[in-house]
Amino acid sequence: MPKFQTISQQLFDSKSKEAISRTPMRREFGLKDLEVINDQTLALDGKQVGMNRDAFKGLCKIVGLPTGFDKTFSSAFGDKARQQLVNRLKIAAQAKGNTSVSVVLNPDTKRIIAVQKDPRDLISNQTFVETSSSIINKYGLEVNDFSVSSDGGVAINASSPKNAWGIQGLKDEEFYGGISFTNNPNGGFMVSPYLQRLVCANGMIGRSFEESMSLGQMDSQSMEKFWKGLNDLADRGFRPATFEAKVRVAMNTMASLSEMDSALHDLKAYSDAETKELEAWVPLQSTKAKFHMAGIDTLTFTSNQMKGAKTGTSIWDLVNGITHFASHDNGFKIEDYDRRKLQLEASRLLTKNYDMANFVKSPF
Amino acid sequence: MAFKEPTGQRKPMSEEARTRIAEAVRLAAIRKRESMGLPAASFIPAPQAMQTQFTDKPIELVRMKDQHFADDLFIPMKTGKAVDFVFTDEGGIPKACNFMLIGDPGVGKSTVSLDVISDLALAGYKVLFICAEMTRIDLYGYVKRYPKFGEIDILFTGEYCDSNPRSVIENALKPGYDIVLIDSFAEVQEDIKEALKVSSSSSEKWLIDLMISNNLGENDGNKNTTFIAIQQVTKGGVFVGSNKLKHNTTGMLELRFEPDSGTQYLVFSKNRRGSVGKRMFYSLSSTGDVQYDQRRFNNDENAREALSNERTLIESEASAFDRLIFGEEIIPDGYKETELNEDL
Repeated sequence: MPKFQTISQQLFDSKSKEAISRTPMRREFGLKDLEVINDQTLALDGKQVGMNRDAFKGLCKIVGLPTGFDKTFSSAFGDKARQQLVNRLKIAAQAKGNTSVSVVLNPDTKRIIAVQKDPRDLISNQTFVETSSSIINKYGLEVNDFSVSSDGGVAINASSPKNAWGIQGLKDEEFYGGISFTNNPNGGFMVSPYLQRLVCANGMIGRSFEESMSLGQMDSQSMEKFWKGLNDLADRGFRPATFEAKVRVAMNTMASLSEMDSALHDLKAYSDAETKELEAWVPLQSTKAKFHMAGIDTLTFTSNQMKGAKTGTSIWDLVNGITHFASHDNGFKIEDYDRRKLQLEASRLLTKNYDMANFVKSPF
Repeated sequence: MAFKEPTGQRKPMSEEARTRIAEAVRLAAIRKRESMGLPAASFIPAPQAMQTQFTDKPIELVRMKDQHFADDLFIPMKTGKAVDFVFTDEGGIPKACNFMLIGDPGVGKSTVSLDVISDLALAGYKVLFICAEMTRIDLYGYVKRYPKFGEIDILFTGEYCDSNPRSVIENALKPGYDIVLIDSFAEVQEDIKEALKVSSSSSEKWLIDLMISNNLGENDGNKNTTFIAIQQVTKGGVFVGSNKLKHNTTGMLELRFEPDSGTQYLVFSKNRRGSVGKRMFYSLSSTGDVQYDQRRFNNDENAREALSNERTLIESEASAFDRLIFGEEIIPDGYKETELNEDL
């Protein structure tokens, strides 16, 4: 059985320091002091500063421009017209009483990484580390990993061998329950169930389960709701209520080519691995080869046809492929924080509506 | 007939005219009572008795450095329960203070305050309950659920209808107590007002003066008494009482319902000796003691602390932002270099 991996107190302390030093900077500006130059540049009091896509989306949301519409508008009328539209909407938002926003800056790159309504929408990494530590101590959890991204995002996974539980009737499906803590400029402070599969020590962040909670504000009522949710989860050994049912369905549902392709895309996006090197985790090439051997050309499939093409790999095997790749050093270059993102993607795959969910046998 | 233009100014009434009118009103009231066959004139006080009496007390300016109080006066009285930390940050009910307790009917004003003074009695403090709203029989039911209430000294003011209530209360307080619960301030005030035929403000003034003199230890036991007085609120939940009462109140303790969870909590909206806004949730469902939710209180306190730290961090981040983007030093007062800024 794989060893239950934990990190030392020394490593935890040094990671905490790193997280605090990389805290993004929040600064409140009057809406009147902002001007959109284009979707990558924002003028703050006349000074032009670069911004990323998330920051632009955040600003669009605040001024009331639906996500996606700006793209449509831009392709129809051009970037200049879109810039004017956002600036006009900004004036309208001011008239409605939205007078200020919080601009979040990555101090290393000097780029704006988020635009939010209020500086308190984002919790500092210091408060995040302190709160996470108190929860870890309260429930006697052990920290499995701690990662910090270049833009100040932080993820801590913690679980406990005391919270081991299994799925009835399935020999290899035993898990350690725990909590995953994440804090980043666009998602805020989130707590999700963390699941570590004993047989292979694969970790999964159960963000898509209903037990996931975000802590937007630290007022008394939000905190009480937050603690209540944590206590309820702890009472169940950190097992998400619908987890067992989801695993059983995932084991009995084959993935579509589209789902397999998407999983491979995620592994490639976060690592330097090539398609053929990832065959052990996502057997897309061998699956496509079998289609070709049967005289079916997958290259001409539309996206809907990809969704309708059944493979020989179950959703559960695909989920385990992603979590195994994310949780172990397989010789590829992958950032620690990106490993956590892959563990999230695995949970999204497990909890989504499967393409083959309504597939039925037919006599014809 | 010549018409005189109104000047907009009214000629002030002379003292003699004022006394004459008051006397005429008094006599008219006596005559009316007599015509109705009601007993007599002595119930209608003379005008002078209705008026506030002012005295020419010599002015004394105070320098606090010349004041000396025993250190013991500033050690709060501890019940040993979580509620101590609502009254003061160090925990306990401070001495020589006057607290008003308000809340909607049924929220548990009497029960919570009796719980507090009973715990103080068990801790060795001398306590008194001036009960103007309940009888012995009413309170007997309470004692069945909360046996510790049976240990405290109680003055049922309703049992002294034929006596001068002012003397009754003054005599009751004479030995000196560490803490006195009055249930309710308005009822005691009303008793005095009715029995002595004085105005509301006069009866209120008398009760406040009595509390202040006992705060100062002017009793046989030289006890610096703390008072907890239950007070009524309007239908809108607004405190009923004069400015004088408000000003002589150390703290205003409110008992409220939280509609979302259907739970009750106590919170100070004014507190000269501690913090305001700290919510202590409690339950009256069990017998023996009022149950305080210490866990939730601690969580709330942690959240308050975290929120306060966040505010400080937001300020320091904003100034670091300005330095980085605008190249200027915009440093707020009291700003300290943090680890974050050193790294920049």
